[in-house]
Amino acid sequence: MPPRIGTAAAALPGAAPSRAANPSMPKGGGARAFSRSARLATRQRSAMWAWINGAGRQFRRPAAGTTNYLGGGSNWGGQEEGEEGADAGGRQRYNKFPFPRNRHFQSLPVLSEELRDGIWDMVVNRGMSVREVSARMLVGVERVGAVARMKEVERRWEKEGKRLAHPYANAILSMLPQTPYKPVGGAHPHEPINDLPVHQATGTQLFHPTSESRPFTRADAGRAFAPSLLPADQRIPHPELIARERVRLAGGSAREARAAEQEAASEADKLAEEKEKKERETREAQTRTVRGRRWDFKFREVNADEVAGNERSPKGVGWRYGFPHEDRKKGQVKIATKVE
Amino acid sequence: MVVRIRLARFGKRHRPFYNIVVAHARTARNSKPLEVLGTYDPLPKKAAAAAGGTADGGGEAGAEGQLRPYKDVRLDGARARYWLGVGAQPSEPAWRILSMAGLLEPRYRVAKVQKMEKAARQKAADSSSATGAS
Repeated sequence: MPPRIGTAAAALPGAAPSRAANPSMPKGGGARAFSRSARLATRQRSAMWAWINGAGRQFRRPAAGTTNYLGGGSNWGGQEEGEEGADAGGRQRYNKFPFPRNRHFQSLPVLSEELRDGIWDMVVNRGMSVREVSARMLVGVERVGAVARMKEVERRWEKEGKRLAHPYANAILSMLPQTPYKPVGGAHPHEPINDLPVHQATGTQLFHPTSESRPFTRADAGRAFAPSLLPADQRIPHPELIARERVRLAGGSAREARAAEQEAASEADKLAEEKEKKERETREAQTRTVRGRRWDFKFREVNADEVAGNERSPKGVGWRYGFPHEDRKKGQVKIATKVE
Repeated sequence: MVVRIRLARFGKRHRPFYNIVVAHARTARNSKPLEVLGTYDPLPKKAAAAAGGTADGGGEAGAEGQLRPYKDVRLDGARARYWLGVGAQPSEPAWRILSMAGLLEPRYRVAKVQKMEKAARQKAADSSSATGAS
């Protein structure tokens, strides 16, 4: 067998750099100073060191305000520049793929602290409606409501002297792309705000024979799926934006468009208010209050027959018999759905 | 055997919760009843103040302008009336609840509270009419 001394370095020219040329390689290895066996430098290992000392050097110390994803780029997040795109400097402005080979894993931007403060200020201090704030900040309606509620909780905790996990929040936020706060001149879009939620009833395939001689509108389509399903135009979160665009496309002026938007918004608000009022009235009609000494008694009418059948109906009245509690069972969702 | 309308204690330790049940008098408290008429939650709930009137089941503002706590009772009035009509005998707590629902003559503490309320209302009406006249 021929001697194998010094063959590895010769076999990979320019790959496995010597220790003198590569200060980042682990020091030590004093025990191996007298070893005459070849270094175990595979092609992949040497390629790794080449990358670490070459293209990968920039990731060692992440600059402030960057996600430090492998594609590089700042942690600015937004819809229109969500795709990878190299600017003049050869660096991507915003890269949403932390793992470059896994294109299914996308890191989408989160709301920055300033933007959340801004949303809370608009809702609470300036008294703007959630829908209005959503349209202006280009953040979803539900998210605006959630931000306002969470900020309230945060303020309450601060008042109560509770410690907030700011270091944790800062550490997480420093690693994620964020949507910045831009109060004037048009906000950065955070997410599509006027997407139509897919109703469960529309998930099924449906064959609905209709007469050709009669118009079949979207309202009819909604009714065909479920009797109570409203047409798409009434279920979207921002009907006022549609109204504005209609006027604009018809050649109306900016003022007319704004007037149409305000009218549609007030109409939507009025509808929501009426619905809530109706619900409250039905609730109150079903409830009878009897005054006591220290507290009131609220009587609500129920139907004892709902328990009929196998007596295990969840709609049944009262604590059920022969049915164990499931509150300690795995997978029970106990997230509060309302705040009191 | 006598049929009674009574309460069956469910819930947990320190968190009582009652079913209002129709059962034979000599059966165990939590045994399967003839029928469940409703429920009674004896823990008073805080009245939540909402922006637009009272919140879900929230208490109403009292004379002092404070929100009063409340207790939740659910009752099938029609079935309760039927069982009373065929001679079911309510226990004392069940009588209290059914009388508040207007199915029985108030007895026990309910009658006392209602009498006091009535007297207070009368007094208030008298004083207001007196001030109105003067």
